[in-house]
Amino acid sequence: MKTVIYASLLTAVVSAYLFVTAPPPLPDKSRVESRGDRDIPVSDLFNIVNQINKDTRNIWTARIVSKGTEAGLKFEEHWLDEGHESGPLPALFMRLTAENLEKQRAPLAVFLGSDMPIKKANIFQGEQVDQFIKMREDFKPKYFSMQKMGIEVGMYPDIASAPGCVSCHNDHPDSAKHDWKLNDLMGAATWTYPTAAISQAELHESIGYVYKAIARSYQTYIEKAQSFSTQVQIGAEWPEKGKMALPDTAVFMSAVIQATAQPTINATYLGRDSKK
Amino acid sequence: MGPKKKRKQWVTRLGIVVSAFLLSSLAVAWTFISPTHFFLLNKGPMTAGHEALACTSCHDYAPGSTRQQFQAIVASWMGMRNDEVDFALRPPQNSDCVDCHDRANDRHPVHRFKEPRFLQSLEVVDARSCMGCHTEHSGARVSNNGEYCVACHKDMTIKKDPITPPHIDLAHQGRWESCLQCHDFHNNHKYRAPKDFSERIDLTTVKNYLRDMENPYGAEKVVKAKKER
Repeated sequence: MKTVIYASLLTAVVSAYLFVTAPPPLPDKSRVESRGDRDIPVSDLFNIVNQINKDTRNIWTARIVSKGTEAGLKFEEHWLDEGHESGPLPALFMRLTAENLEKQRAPLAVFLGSDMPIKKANIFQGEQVDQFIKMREDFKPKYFSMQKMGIEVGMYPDIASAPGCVSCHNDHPDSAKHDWKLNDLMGAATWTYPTAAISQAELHESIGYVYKAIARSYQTYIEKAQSFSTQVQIGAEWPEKGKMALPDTAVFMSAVIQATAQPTINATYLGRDSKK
Repeated sequence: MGPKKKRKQWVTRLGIVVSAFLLSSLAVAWTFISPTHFFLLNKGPMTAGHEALACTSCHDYAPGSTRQQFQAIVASWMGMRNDEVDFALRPPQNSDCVDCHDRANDRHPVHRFKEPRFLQSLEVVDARSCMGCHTEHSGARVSNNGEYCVACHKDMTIKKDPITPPHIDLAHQGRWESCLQCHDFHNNHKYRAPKDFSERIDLTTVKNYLRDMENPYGAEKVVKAKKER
């Protein structure tokens, strides 16, 4: 009888500790955690961030790489190697942005690939091959799910928009194709996110991750430029022939925000497509 | 055995269980009174360079109070929730590793393997996570045999291949153990791959390195890891 009493008392004490006087339970991670209703298709997020990335890349290519080259700055594939006083080519600036998304623990990720890349490591495989074949026909974004990897995917055409893209890929000894022309479809930017729908808070947070990733990537280049043996004036000025200058991160980001704010606001709040 | 003796035996057993519960509760409580006691949770030896780190150098605190975590674990045992509950400390994530080991020149950064085209490769090695290859508290640097390059590099056709025998022959022969004999996976040592295959690092030396012994790629690093996050 005593045994039953002791056992009951023990069970009661443990139960009270665990459940009756319990503090609020921890959220169950197996259930979808979301701040607010997830009523926005993730493709909307992909459209917005892809446009931000595309506009940033245009600024990087036209105002930093092209004008910087005229000023005497160098941009190359092995810019990070020791002894190289140079900056990243446009595709490598985008890779830096992708790294800086990861470092923020962002669920959003971006990659650049092709069916005919310079580096074999960047060649499309599996589902991306099929989607890219369709993209070659209509030049339109492709959205699909990869359930095995637990991701939603948005692929966007990467067009040869500047003479530098064409000449660099045609001249590179490891290039898989040497007859690229302006406006050719060279590859695709691939965005991924873990869920098919997102909340407004998650949309805002993800857009923030992208802007911060761009700022950190540019800051990495500026820090490298400060160590160049030829002094580069870093501040409010942009580079041009005869002017070895680079905008600081705040000035560069102002240009990015100026170029991207309107389409981002339209797509986020006014329900219109971001500019195509 | 008479009913009295049987009851006495039950009471004794219950006493042992209650005492064990109280003592272990005290031990657990003492462990969590201060982070300086967390060493009691250490599962094994740290890898080279990590010996002097505190637990919280890599692990963040798990969400919730100790009591909430304990309750969630019990609820999980009882089938009342489906997730894995962290107790005291959270397992490190990529960003925890990268906080100290961040390098823009990493040849194989983990974030690249989250791309859809790596689906098949991930079946060989889950390179999306640092812990897909690396291990800690186990007396080894790497948890696999170091022959995972096959997952992505099956096509080894290289224009103007600088080595003899060429990479493509090594791949056809399935010599995937030889990759790390010439190449530094993360490319963070001031080391140049030999152009003569016969000058490659001895395989046993590479295997020993993966088991956390001497580094064959040279002591000088391109980017040194931070000492604390």
